[in-house]
Amino acid sequence: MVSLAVDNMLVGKDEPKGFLFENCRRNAFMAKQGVTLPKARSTGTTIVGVIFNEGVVLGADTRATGGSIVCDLNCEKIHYIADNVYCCGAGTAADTEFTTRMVSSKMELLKLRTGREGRVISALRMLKQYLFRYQGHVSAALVLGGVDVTGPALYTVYPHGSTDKLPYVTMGSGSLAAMSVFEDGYKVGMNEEEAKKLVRDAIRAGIVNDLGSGSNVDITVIKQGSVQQFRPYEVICKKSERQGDYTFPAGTTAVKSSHDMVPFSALRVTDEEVMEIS
Amino acid sequence: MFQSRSEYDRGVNVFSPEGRIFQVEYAIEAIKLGSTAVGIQTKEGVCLAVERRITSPLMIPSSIEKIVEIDDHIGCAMSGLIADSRILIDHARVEAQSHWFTFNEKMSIESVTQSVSNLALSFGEYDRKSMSRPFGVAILMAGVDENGDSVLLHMDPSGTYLKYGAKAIGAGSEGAQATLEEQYHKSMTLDDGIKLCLNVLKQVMEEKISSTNIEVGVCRKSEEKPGKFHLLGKDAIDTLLTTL
Amino acid sequence: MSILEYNGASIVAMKGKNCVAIAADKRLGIRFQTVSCDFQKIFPMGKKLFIGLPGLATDVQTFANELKFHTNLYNLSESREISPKVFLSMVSNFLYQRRFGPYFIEPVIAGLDPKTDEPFIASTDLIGCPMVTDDFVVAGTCLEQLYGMCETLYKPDMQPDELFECISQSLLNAQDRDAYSGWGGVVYVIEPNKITKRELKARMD
Repeated sequence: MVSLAVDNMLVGKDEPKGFLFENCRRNAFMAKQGVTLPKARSTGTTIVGVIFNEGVVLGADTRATGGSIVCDLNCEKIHYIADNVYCCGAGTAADTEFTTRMVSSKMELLKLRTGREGRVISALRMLKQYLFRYQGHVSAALVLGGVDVTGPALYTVYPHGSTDKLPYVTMGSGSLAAMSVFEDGYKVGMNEEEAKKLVRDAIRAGIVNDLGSGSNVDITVIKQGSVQQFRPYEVICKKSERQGDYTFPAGTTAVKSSHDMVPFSALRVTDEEVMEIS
Repeated sequence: MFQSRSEYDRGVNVFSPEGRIFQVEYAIEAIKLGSTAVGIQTKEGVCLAVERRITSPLMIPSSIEKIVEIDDHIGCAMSGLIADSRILIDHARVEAQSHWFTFNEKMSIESVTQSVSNLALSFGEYDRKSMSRPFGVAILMAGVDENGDSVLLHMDPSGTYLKYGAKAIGAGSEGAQATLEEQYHKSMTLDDGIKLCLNVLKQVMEEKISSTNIEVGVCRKSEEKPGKFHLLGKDAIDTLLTTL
Repeated sequence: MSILEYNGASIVAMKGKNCVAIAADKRLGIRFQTVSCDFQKIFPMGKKLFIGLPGLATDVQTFANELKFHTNLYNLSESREISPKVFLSMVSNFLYQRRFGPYFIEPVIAGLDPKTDEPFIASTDLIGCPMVTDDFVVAGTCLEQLYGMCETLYKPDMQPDELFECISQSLLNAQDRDAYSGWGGVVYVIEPNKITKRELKARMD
């Protein structure tokens, strides 16, 4: 993981990078005392990808859950890796977010160092090597897709670091529902519209049949030299409209004390200009 | 007794009695041996131009890279010991990515330069990673920030960095700077700025200016902030040169 | 029992028209025993930027200090005030650094952009997964009650006064059905040129 720039400045270059473990002992002790440790937010998720004649279509639902509670109705699960590579994430939401972000940073550095557009396989290597190192504890299940000099490429990455290369893939808790649609409808050499329609049907199957997935279908289409994002591509389940109006008149809430604060100035920034010469 | 420099120029962490660190001053001298680099900042964006010194007809000119990209919105031109600059450039790129990773915003040009300058003046520390001598390179850092400001910064081997409207470094810097001071004004357009850059280079270069022996980089302010930095291709430079 | 219930807390933030509000209860307890009814859970992090930290009280205070330290450092090194969006990234990064030994807090962020005064609300889970929403965010021991209240009372584009009533009623009625939180409430309404802090009268049981 890239460490914090500010940390390095402040405490010197020898500060350890990556994860910090200082709370682990305390947390383990508390767990032994009989309290349960909270669960992180996860994306139950249906994510899919399919190769068509000109590139790759990636699709995802937009529900995030914490236990049985829907925390986010419209979360973004198709992450940017590079201009020609995107990645759908399922599993622990924070893990997918940060793992893809870290690989995105590394891909940008690779591009700057080599002076060439990065390849999908490079991102795949970075992901699997990173995930294997953490032995599945970083629980990110990914669908990686993109188009590079070698043409379209589509992979799945499992949390333990194993990967697959297939023409159509699904991941997440809704993967079975989505795969059933793919197995039925996939054809070699589909055009863009057919591919988008198939991905939409697969995600819809996840949204309707899997409780971990819900709300909308997001789609990203990657072709040689172009990326199109549809967010949302289609709203499958709309939030219901409230019938009543429960506006409270001003003064309903009993207030003990009230005071206005003018936002204090934490820092005054003065304008700086380059002086004119001549 | 202390007149001779040789008494005090052996160590990088020793002041002379007059309060100078000679090794740093020598490093600054090294820049004056380097090829000329010019940078101009305008309201519409920034541009950088450097000369490539082609010392042999067998040399492949495009392999000389003295303007590089730091991030999408920042470019950097250099003069002096180019090998030294690689360390600084790599550091700058990593810092820019690290900032984006942590704060989810593009790093400002000034912050990138600040972090490069931290590295540039960390010489002589008892640290495995730091250099034993000052970096023999000066850089011009240029780009358009996330808030739309175009910025040109110059940093020398002492780690000092300053904002400039127009700045020249390298062998021809004295003449070039004089011309810039005459002809630069802050309300000029970016296209005029690019032309001025090329004119200045043309004046100070020993060889005849051509699209093979210079490099030009531009970062233009656009609707999609921050700006995108890019190097001009051979054809684009040729067209520019015909307008001079 | 979850460790988040050890001290108890509930926090909610809402977006109005050109304004945002953040509200919290005031109880600090040790399981069922109430220790304090004036415990700070909302911390100012900029001129118009606040963070609410429900969770384990020791982590709340440690983390608030760490954040203040780093926002000050950011403000100085960048010579500008931190924007809510950037602040959210910073918070989630700190939490994710401790992915395998987390702080037991679930931050809620509310503020206006220092330049554009654009309203912003967001929350993260305990390991820093960011979530930016357009209506409201909730966290704490009575999360479920708060979701219910907010889904019923919230409507878009509320004026500051309306927003105050809406967020206060949501908080008060939610915390009345939660043993772990309550014992007073505090609401900040943040507008471009003023911030109003109000202490709410609440059940003390």
